[in-house]
Amino acid sequence: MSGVLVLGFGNPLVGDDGAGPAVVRELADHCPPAGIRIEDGGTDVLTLPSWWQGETELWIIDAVRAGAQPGTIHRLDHDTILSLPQTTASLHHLSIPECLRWIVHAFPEMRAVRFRLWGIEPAVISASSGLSEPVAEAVGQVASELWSALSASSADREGSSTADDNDSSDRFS
Amino acid sequence: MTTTRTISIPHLGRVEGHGGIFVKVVDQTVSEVNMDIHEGSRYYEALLVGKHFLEVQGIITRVCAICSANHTVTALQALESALGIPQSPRVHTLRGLMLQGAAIESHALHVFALALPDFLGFDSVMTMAAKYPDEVAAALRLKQLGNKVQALIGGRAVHPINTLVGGFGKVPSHRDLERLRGELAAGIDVAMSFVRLAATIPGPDFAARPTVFVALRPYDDRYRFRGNSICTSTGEEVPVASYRDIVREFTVEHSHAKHSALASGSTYQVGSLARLALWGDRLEGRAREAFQMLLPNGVVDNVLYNNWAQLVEIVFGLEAGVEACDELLGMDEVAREQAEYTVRAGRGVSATEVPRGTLFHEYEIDDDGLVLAANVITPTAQNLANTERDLRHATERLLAAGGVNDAQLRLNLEMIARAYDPCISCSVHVVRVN
Repeated sequence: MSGVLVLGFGNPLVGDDGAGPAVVRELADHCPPAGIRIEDGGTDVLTLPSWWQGETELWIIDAVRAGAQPGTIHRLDHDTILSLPQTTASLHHLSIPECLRWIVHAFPEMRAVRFRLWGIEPAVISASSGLSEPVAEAVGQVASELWSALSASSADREGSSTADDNDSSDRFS
Repeated sequence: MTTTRTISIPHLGRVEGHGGIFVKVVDQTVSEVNMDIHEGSRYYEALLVGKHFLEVQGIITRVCAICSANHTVTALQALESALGIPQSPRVHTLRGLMLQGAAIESHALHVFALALPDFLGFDSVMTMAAKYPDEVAAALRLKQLGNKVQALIGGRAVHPINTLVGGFGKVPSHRDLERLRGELAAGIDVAMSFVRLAATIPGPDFAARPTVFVALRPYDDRYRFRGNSICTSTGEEVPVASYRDIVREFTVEHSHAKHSALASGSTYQVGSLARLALWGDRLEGRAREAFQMLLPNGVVDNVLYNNWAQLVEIVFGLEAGVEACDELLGMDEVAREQAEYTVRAGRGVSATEVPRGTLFHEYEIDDDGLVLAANVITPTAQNLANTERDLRHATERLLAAGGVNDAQLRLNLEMIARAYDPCISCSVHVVRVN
């Protein structure tokens, strides 16, 4: 099976920690292309295996503190994410890289999954609802970027699938 | 000439949430010990005031991911108490199964990812995987099994959506329960392998100190996570509805979280070790076997053994989960179950034993069902004062013994704090006003 699972992690009741779910809400305003699933993952990255249904790609959105200006978007590819050291700066017990390393160790069936992370630098992490202005702007930007990437990904898969169908029809003609 | 030494751990690693430890020693005497809670203050109780009671669980479940099922069950029971809604046997068993799933999940995460690396000399769960690959893999699958229980019963692995005031929107099918039962049963041998590993690890005694334990008296004569009265190891017992007579909260200068003490003034400890201290003799089956392997002389007053107590409760949770599935499979299959009720003014209190200890929820609602007042006392908040006393005692003991450098002292203090399995996200819900 191919396909992309998009998961937003975070808590909408803790200010900018709600960035991940906010991106998911914006994406949910559209009908996702075929082969794409978009979910609000809640606040525990380690539950990721329970969301996965065999997709080959897993895109994560979360608030990520890296000491940059609020609203900064950190884009990490698979190899970069998995090589980041464990830190204590995570908003959710283990850091995302450590969670993913543990997951692929414990679930061999997920070792072929390719991860991507969009991290939005928060301004406010405290009990409050609503996003700060820079983070709200970043949420819109990430949602737009993801939508373009998802549409392109789906078109690629449809293209491959059409080529396969043509091959099949040649065999039967 | 006075010498001052400070041990500061500004960011306590491998705990849920953000906290730190500060210890000041003047001429070999510990003058100050603070467990700082510097997570942003939480306003969940204040957020709930004015909301309709049907909105309570959706808000309070988001205090913390790991504790979401526990807050949900306890909140619903408190609201049902306020509204006079009885709990049917099926709903009682389903909620019990959710609590078991939450315990399996939380204990598996805490023991393997947060606590065990210290005992085995590793700095993280993944560096531990180099030597214990099968155990580290099995630990996450065990956590995942706990999530599966909560997903089947609550509708989601975290922040349940299937739970209702008065019941459940969808009752699991017999087919799904049979499958879950099989997975829970298969997990018991895995958990026992962890018990055998832990039994080979010596428990340090630097944290030993006389301790008052507190836990709910189980509602029957077995080991349970629910009950109707609060018991202490010093012989006190009060009904849950009168919890304020025994659990006194107070604010401290150095922390955003309230601390707790008994009405007698004594600090106390809640959690797995407390439950075993009070009710461990009621354990049966493999859980009893695990208890005897890990604590052959019974419970000791040493919080580091709370980690092993959690391992015992993983075995208990799996066995109790199998039993709960059998009970549900013995009932007729139904699509959903929810009691009918009338909205009315009322006050209700509920307490449950959750992974870190006793959790209290209290709500007062008006005739329209709007929340007038809410109070939540988490196990972590109750343990904070006792944690500080343990940190002080351990520091004095280690300094008196001599030969311990700052790095070792820091690690030992971190091990004590981590052994309580604090969920700092839950414990902070006080407004600080300057």
